Amino acid sequence: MEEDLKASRPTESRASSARRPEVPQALLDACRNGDRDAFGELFDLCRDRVYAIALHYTGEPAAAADVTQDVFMRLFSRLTQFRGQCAFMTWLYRIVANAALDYRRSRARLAPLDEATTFASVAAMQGDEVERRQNASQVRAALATLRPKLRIALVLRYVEELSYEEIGEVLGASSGTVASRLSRAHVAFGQAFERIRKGDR
Amino acid sequence: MPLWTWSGHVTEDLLRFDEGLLPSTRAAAVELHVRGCHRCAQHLESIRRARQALQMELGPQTMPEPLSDSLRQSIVSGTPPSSGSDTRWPFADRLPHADSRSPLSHLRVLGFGGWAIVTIALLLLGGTGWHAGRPWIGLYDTSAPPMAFERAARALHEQGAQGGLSLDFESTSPAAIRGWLHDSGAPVAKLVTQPADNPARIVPVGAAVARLRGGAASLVRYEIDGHPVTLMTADAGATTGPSASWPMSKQITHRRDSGLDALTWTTGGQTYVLVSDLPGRGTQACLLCHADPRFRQAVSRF
Repeated sequence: MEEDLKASRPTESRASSARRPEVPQALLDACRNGDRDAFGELFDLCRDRVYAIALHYTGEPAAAADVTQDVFMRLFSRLTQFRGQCAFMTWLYRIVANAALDYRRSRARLAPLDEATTFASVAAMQGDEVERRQNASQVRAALATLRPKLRIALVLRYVEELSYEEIGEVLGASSGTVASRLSRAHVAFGQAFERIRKGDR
Repeated sequence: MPLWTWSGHVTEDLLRFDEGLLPSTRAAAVELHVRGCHRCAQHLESIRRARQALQMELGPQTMPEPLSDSLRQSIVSGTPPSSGSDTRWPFADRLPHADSRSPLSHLRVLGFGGWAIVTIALLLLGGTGWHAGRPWIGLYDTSAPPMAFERAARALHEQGAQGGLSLDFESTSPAAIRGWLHDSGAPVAKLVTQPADNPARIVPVGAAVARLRGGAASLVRYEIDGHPVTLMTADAGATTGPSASWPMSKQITHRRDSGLDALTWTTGGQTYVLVSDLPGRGTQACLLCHADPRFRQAVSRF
């Protein structure tokens, strides 16, 4: 019990920012000047991060592709408006969050398609892989039950490992509000996750 | 952030406690409370399980190569942005006039007055054209990646063609299908009865309703000369689709992929996707909704 109550690990001290790419000012300037190769370079630098957020937020590869395309469309069409008032990556995360929140995901008929694909290949998997896939599916399903503002906060926290302050900067909220949202998000996710796990047994 | 809530519990602080983000004095107080509070101890355990599951599943992802290649090509070959440029840049090929630009797109340079004149002229011309037997229909090929709604329609079409899709309502009567869709609260496509002078053999099969977050979508299956055809309809606000067509006209985007032709368009506040493997570009499938011989004549031009 003594040991159980200790904090599991100090998340904030993770070297999250070291994982984030540095976007050279010269590259941004070149993009603003219409250098197409620079556009390609900037795309290569950011694409996987954008896609990861979109995929975990939407829970569907097809929807993630739509959000990703929308993000880059917004990014390049608005790049001339970026004045460096915040870090470029913060600005990009803001675009990703807005695109994700704007996206209306189709459900019902579309969701079973993914499930059908998953189940079709289950027979060919080993036991561990089946369990891992099932766990991933349950996490996705639990995330999908959260309100968009709670879900995007969780995704930014776990996928990009942003601090409370950074999430606040992206979502236009104070770190106190972010702390409150994340707290509610964990509780809601935990409840949904447990419910889904019990239902799957 | 209050350490103690009105009920005396420390719910709001448990996440930051678990993450090690609380100042030491506050963390010690939370720890003390949790030791003596069964409810908060359970709550903490639940948060830990949630964090463990999230940490395990939410991580970096690599963008699939086909998507990455397609987007990169669009970006590198696009037109550089400038003040007042098309906000859709650099994905101009998402627009219906992707590979074959609509003459209307060149009118962007006109001022307000010019636009007003052009709009009135278009309305007049469109109306005249329609009544003269020449409805203004634009069919534009594109190779851009399809949007989710079209992908769903394609997947459901294939599923149906393989017998893996059970319809909610089966009927060979267009009127019955329309009535059922109407009663189900789904968007209703303008399905017509087989016209006597139409050489194509059109046989409705049935319909299903898909629930989208923004509303319902309808799926209608039928056959034309033995070829399976799928028509999906949704409110334009409920899904991502092509831009709305001009008044008195119809701008249809055509995309061929994996042996299937998909026609997509938005008009009257609804987005449509028509999937088939009919000869040509699948435009024959338009006959399901348009028995008018003038429309058939227009379609046959493509």
